[in-house]
Amino acid sequence: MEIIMSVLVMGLIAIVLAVALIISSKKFHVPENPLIEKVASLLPQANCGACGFPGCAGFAKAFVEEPVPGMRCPVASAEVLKAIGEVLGTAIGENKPMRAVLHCNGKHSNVQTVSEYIGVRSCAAANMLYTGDKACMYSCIGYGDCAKVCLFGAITMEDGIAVFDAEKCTGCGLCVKECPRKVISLVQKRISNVRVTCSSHDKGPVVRKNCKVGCIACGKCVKVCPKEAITVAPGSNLARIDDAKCILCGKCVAECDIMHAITADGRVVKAVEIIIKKKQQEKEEKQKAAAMAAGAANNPAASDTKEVKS
Amino acid sequence: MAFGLKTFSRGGIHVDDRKYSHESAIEKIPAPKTVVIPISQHIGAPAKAVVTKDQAVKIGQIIAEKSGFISANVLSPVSGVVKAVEARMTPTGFKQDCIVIENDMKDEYFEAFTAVAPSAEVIEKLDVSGAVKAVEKAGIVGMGGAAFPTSVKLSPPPDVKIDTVILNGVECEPYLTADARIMIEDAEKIVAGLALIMKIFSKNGPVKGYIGIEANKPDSIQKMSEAASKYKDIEVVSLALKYPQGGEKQLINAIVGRDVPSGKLPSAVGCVVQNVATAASIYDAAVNNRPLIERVVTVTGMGVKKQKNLLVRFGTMFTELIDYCGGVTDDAAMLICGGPMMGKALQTSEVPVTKAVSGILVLTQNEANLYEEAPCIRCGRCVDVCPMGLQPGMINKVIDAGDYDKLEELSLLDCIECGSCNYICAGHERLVQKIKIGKVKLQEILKARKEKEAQLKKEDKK
Repeated sequence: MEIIMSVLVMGLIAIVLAVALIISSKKFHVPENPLIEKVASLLPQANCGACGFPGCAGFAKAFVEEPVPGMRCPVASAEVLKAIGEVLGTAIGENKPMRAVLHCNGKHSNVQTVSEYIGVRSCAAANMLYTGDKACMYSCIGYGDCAKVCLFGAITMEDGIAVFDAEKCTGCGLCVKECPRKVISLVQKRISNVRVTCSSHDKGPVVRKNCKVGCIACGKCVKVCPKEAITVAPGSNLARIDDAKCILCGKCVAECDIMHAITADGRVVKAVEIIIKKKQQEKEEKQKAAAMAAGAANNPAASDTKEVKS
Repeated sequence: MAFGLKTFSRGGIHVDDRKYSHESAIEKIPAPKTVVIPISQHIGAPAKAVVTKDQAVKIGQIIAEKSGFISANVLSPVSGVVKAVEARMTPTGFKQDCIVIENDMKDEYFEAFTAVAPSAEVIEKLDVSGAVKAVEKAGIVGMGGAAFPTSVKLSPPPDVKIDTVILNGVECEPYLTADARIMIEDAEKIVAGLALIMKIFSKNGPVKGYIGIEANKPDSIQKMSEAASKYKDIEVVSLALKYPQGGEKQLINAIVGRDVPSGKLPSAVGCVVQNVATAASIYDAAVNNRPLIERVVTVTGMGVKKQKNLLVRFGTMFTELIDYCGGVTDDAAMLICGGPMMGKALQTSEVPVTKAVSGILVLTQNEANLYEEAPCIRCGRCVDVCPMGLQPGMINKVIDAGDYDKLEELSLLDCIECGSCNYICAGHERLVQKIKIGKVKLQEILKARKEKEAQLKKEDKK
């Protein structure tokens, strides 16, 4: 009997509350555009904030309700953009995929270590204290502030510098903002990338003293570039490649054969190998020719006899 | 409050004072062949270089002019020829623009100076109307370590009434003995300097002068008391040993019991605090027209062969001073500019002495106690010792989490970076370094908010 009573009472309470809930939900209903939820569900859901809005939901709301030209999710792939376009019934311009690259090759094996750092393991902290434990004051500090901030696991710290996984990188740019030395930049995501892996504004002799693979601004790469994509800004002591103009020929990489301060990745690596091989062959041929000419000059009799013999 | 001595009321720690060089008299070392003078040796806008390469300069000639209200002149400490104006490593840990001067060893002064001995009569007769200008010209900045331009401190806004001038002879940092030695060897000049500062402020009513000295320097206290007895309204206060008593706010609290409100300067409670060495140089500038070209630097720590107090020209390399003290020992491990609590670790000794360098510390591995960081155990000792009443452990957690907005509620900007929390921390966490990062981030947020508010106001007006 008691059980039945309690079931009845609880049931009654449940019905009353349910009715109250139904009434309130009808009365206080806030109309929201159903498209927002649809768009939000299509977005990558990394909430990285690279679009400038508080997370993917915030972006979706702004994108549906008051779109501004140029507003974009830098992370979304072409398919996602297409899907969003279908939902909204408009075509969305294609996203130019970007990726982050490091303009430094200051591995411990390349750059001198001048002091021991025992403070907080954070690039920002070390950069505030002094010029870093590496001899070069422009180098990647290597304590991984960028790796900590990356939401896609694209950055690993290896031998004192950040290594970027081109596949995983979405080009959101959080690491670019975080880096206190400003040695990371965004480039187009292409089959490969060619960049100057140095950020030192020091003069040539200083760079050579500090680092095995620094840019000494000799300007050889500038001369060899067919598209005038490489410049050495006056006073900067540093070559920079304009990514928009670069056609990935790899000539500059082969040309920078003393300091190796220009690095290529992806498919260009092979092209560079071919160019270097070709250069090597040309050099050998030249040397041979020179040696023969020299031999002929030194010992004309010998060459004469050779000719006679042949 | 042992022995009934005065001290500040909140927080503080007791550190082993290790004043190894206290007994060694100040030695004047010969001027170096070349000096390197950073154009920014003070808080505020960097000075502007007014000399060029190959220009001849004399001692006391202005080589970089103050630019802006909070800034200070930089004078040449030697006579000779400017060799270069270029970026060199400085005790800040970074490269900064420096003027390199080759010394011709002639020691010619740019302007004539006098050598009036300090006494009560001299100060009484002195017309102080030109004193602040003289201090500004001589390029004097606070020599306790913060290097705040002294002329700015001496000219508060007209509505601020100063009734107390405190000289800081506390030197609460362990190891350092420069101020203690100056007080023993130059007490008359320091007290005359204090009387001069008091006279500058006395046009708005009577001013009382105090000289705060910690009780571990009985000889300094004795000499200063003797000198002070010749003046009215100057009192030497013996203070109990507690770190960071040399902080402006702590010293005011210890001596006159006033609390400086958060975010305000000591002038808000009618006080001005000056370092003892600064007072002596103020006297020299205002009475004798002598420029500020040298200072006393303590070279100490178990990592140097002999611990000494040296009178050195600005621009002398740390290396030269260390060599003068017999060089470093085999187990030297760490070089610090300043004291062990608030000083800055340096990566090289090829940096020049500037106006703010009070000590050069070479620590051995054993002294430096380089512990590994361990997790916070929430013991709360950092809260107990914080002289500003903050919660360093909590602040550390908030910074780790990246919740920089919350730092404002935790009054982060009140932190004086004294390092007490760091010293006491059971987990040896690098609290002060984290707090420094937090301060930068918080200031960014506050700046962005201000800009946004200004923009909103503009739009409202439209």
